[in-house]
Amino acid sequence: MEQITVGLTGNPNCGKSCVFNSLTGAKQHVGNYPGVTVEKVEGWCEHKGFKIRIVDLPGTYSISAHSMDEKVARDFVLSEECDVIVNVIDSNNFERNLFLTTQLFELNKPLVAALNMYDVATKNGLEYDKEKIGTFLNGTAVSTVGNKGEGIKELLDAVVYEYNCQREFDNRINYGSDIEERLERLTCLISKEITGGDEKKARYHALQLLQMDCDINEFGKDAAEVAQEAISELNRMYGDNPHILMAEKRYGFISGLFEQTVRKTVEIRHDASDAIDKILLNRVLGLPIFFGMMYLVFKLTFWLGDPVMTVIEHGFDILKGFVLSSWPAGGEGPLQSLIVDGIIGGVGGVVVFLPNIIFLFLAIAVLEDSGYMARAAFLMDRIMKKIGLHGQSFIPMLIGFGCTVPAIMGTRILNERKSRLTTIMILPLISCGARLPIYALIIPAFFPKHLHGFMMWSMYVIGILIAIILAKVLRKTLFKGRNTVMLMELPPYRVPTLRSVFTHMWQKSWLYLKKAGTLILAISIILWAMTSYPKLPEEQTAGMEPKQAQAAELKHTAAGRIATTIEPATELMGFDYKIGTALIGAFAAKEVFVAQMGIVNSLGEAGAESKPLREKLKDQYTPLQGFCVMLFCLISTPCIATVAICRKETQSWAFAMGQFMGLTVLAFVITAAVYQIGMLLT
Amino acid sequence: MKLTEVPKGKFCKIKSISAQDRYLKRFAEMGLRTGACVKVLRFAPLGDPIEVKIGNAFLSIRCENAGRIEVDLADKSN
Repeated sequence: MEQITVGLTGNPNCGKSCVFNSLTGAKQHVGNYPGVTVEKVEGWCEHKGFKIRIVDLPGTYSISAHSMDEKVARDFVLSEECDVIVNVIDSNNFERNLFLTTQLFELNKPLVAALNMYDVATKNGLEYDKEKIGTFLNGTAVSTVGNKGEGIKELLDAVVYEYNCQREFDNRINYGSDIEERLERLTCLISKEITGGDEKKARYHALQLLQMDCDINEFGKDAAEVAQEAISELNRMYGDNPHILMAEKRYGFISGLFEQTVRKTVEIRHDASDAIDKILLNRVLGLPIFFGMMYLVFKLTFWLGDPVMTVIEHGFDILKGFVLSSWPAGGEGPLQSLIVDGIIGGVGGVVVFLPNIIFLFLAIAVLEDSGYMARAAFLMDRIMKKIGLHGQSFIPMLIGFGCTVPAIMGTRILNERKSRLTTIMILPLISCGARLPIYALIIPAFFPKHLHGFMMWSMYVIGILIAIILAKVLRKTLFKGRNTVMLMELPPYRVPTLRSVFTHMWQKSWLYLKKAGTLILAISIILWAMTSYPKLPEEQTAGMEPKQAQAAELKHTAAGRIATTIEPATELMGFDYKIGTALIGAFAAKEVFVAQMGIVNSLGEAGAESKPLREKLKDQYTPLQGFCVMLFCLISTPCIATVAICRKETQSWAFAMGQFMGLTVLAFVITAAVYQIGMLLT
Repeated sequence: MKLTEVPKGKFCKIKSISAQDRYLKRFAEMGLRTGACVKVLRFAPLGDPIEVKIGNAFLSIRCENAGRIEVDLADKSN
């Protein structure tokens, strides 16, 4: 079967992901703010005897390659790999979306324009002459409604048609005689020296040079000289750089296209979003609503999650009981302890928090899909500016409440490297879902019920405050530099679709479960072994109280020895060797801390009536110690995956390890200070 | 007058933009260009950035950037 590769492009918020889902049926999150599709996502479908491979490219306003997203999109549509470009256009924002379309048009490749959200445009009184648009663009234009799957068949028909029809391409926007003359000169030169006579490719490179979309020396010294001269001449003649003059001509082309192909039957009004913004972005109410909403998210996470949590806890208890009761008599030993204490105790201790995680991700998905996330960036920009960052940096930070890994990936929307690096460095301080189990274990154990929500909220706020201070320090020292322009689109409010919210929520929760089933299972087993072996000879514990004996046994094990070695340091933070051993595991993944505390506190009592872990902690530690555990876990790096993704996104082990070590030291210093001061006060 | 001086809810036409090249490019891509009609919607609660409407898109732009955009008041809606 012959294959057609399609590059799916479009502005952020044009509904591209919906079209992608309708085309491929693939499960993929449909975001509602710039930069959600940062990965190169692919899907497949079959149509008219062709296998069609669709690559969902990042949403961009242009392919000038300012940011990583734009570069990814540009490189793909330029590559030989891409047979047909499908440009998804928001029909309600036609003129602005066409800026990218004109750039794609100039690539001289088969092009299909998908006028998306067509139902809304029709409702808004817009009528499009699709045939004429196709003629203008030397391609095909179809109308689609991505979220309802309308027009998808026509879109695929168009893809196959454009692939088969072997058009002659010589797409040009006329930039006026002065620019054209210089373009021609550059094209000739590049065609001769670089593209081996390929005039169209040469013209594209000449356009890049004049528009300063690439390094001036990219196409050789001669071309650089000619381009530089042309830029200076045009600047003298018009008082503006060529890329501004060319953008104007581009808009001229767009205006012509718009005039001839679009008919407005009524005046468009987009008042719904504006009306909502009047309240949500209000000068007085805006920030209180925002903080209230954040507080509500955390409150709901507990309020909805707790009942389900009790059910899951109970389920694991039944499972433990079942394993113990069906174990052959006399066969109790290491294997039973491994299954009951290590595996069920470890994994169960983590899975139990799944409801909290699910509700947190649900809330984040609703905020994202409704369009409120971008408003959060708008509201917070002034504060972010104070620490030398963008309001846009706030978006990855918000995602960071769910998980640090996608948050670090989300920093790709920032097109200035230093802002991006600063944001990546501080993201682990935004309390992620993996810390939630720790809070959920400790807060109810040590604090009265009416303080639960507040304690939880304060953990998040402490993280944010430290992140702010750290960002400010980094922007003043390591990542000095001026801020780039802050220009961001606020997408219209949309009612999140159930499918998209649940897909998003499920994907993230599934990742958490998978981590519980793989990484955490493995760590649980290793830690169980480390906390069980080597065994202490029985004669040494003879005559001891059971509790004393248990402590002596634990101290004798591998984990106990490590924890004892580092005890002088951990003691400063108020941690005993049990918490010390659990923290060793928590370096791999924060959730492991809970699992490990479960293992350490249930050793030697398999079969006995066991108290819930919370009760046991309450008996052993003070609220101050509980708070310090939360603080240490909040400030130190969340998991190994964070270190890995930091390395991948910064392309540097130095940054990844620097972040890991720096946060660990910071966590130690702050926690030790809090504990010591706390002890003085109590 | 500067874009930041336009009263809330009023329309204006962009007369000129004085900014560094790479900013100008970004502006143009987002529809902010000479001759474009802009409606000023609101300032953020902390006074910065401002939200403007251009065509059918809502944009957020910092005052330091918006202050570089010279405009004339217009009575035409977009």
